[in-house]
Amino acid sequence: MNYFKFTPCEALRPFVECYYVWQSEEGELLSQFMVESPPNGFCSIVFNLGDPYSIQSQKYPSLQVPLHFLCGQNIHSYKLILNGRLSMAGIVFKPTGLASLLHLPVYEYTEERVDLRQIFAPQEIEATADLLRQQQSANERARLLEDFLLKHAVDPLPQPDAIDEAACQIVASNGLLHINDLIRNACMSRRNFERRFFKKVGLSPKYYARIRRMSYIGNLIAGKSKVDWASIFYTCEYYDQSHFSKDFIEFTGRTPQQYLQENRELAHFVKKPREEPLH
Amino acid sequence: MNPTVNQQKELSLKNACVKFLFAYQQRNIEKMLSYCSADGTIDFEPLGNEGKGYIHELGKGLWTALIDSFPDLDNTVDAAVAEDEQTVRCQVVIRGTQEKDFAGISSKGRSFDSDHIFIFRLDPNNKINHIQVSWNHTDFQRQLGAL
Repeated sequence: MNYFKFTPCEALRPFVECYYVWQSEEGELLSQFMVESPPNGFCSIVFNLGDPYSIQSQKYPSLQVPLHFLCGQNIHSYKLILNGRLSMAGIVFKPTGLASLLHLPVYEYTEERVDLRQIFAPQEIEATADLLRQQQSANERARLLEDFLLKHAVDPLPQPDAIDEAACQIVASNGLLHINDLIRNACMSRRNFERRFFKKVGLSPKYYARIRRMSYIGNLIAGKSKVDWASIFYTCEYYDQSHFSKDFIEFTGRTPQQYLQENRELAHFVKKPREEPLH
Repeated sequence: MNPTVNQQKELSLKNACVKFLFAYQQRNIEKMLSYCSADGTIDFEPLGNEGKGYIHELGKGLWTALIDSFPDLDNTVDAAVAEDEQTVRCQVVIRGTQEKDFAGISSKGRSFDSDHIFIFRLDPNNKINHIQVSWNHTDFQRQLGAL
């Protein structure tokens, strides 16, 4: 299978992490193929151009996801169960992207995959999916995703505000920062900061930082069979081992060692993609 | 923006719960109660049978006493997840500094910071008709110096 990533245009960069195209090789058919992900702190819009698939999560033992959907913040690991032909194209948003660009009530979507036809005009979603199917080039598909986004984004495009910037700082630091510093830099009361952050990200700043740290750990150990836990523990600034294990169990449902031995993250199956500019 | 977005906002289950918790953060009990049905019930789980009653009676009484004893009472909503079509689970951190005796715990001027789970059940009009609140009561007592 192939996985491509593309950088958004300059104006969208404060709100969009990337576009991606993920597809199986020509003629390759999957059978009960499972890929899992710890929560990563990003929301997305996904167009499934291949066969339907299901997910397993703490909330849903088995859920056939809508063909084209919006995925809110995940707070627990989830698994994709893929069958048949794999072909997806998606927009990955920075933490405040859905709220800032599309004015969507993002906390509504936590742990949910919502049919895009409930959010946008159904005929428009079908038309966009048709256009995506007609394009064989990954770059052209990403370009169509950007067109879709620009069409639906608020006009004029917003400038990042203090909450957008604070959320991006949490992403950039992998959650390894002090929330009080962010609040001070935003020149807001803690209450106001937390409330505005929740409305734009769907989670509290501290909780979001914990998720980003867990995602970072997931990246550090992805594809490895052995890791130096002490080094990770130190790098990720945990107070103590029990705190580290507690986070692991809370977000992934497994101890660190179990996770290392059993996880089936995408990094096991595709080469790490190089992010390309749209052209 | 497509009108279906607004329709979805109106149908939101989580909205009432989050507004309830924001009103709690403002220590505005009347506003909290305005999101609840008149005969709604509450279960402060760690308190056993004494923690079961009506939102407008037991809930109002307990929150009034709590705010009186912890004048800086505050909360942070970590996440809100819909469990089914009428139930929302909210992870909330509640904190405050004790200035008066509360529920048999004499004031030593200490602060607490405690993870709480609020499980809200809503009626068809999106009014909260049941709240289950759980927390680690032993840890809460320990933080306040009662154990």
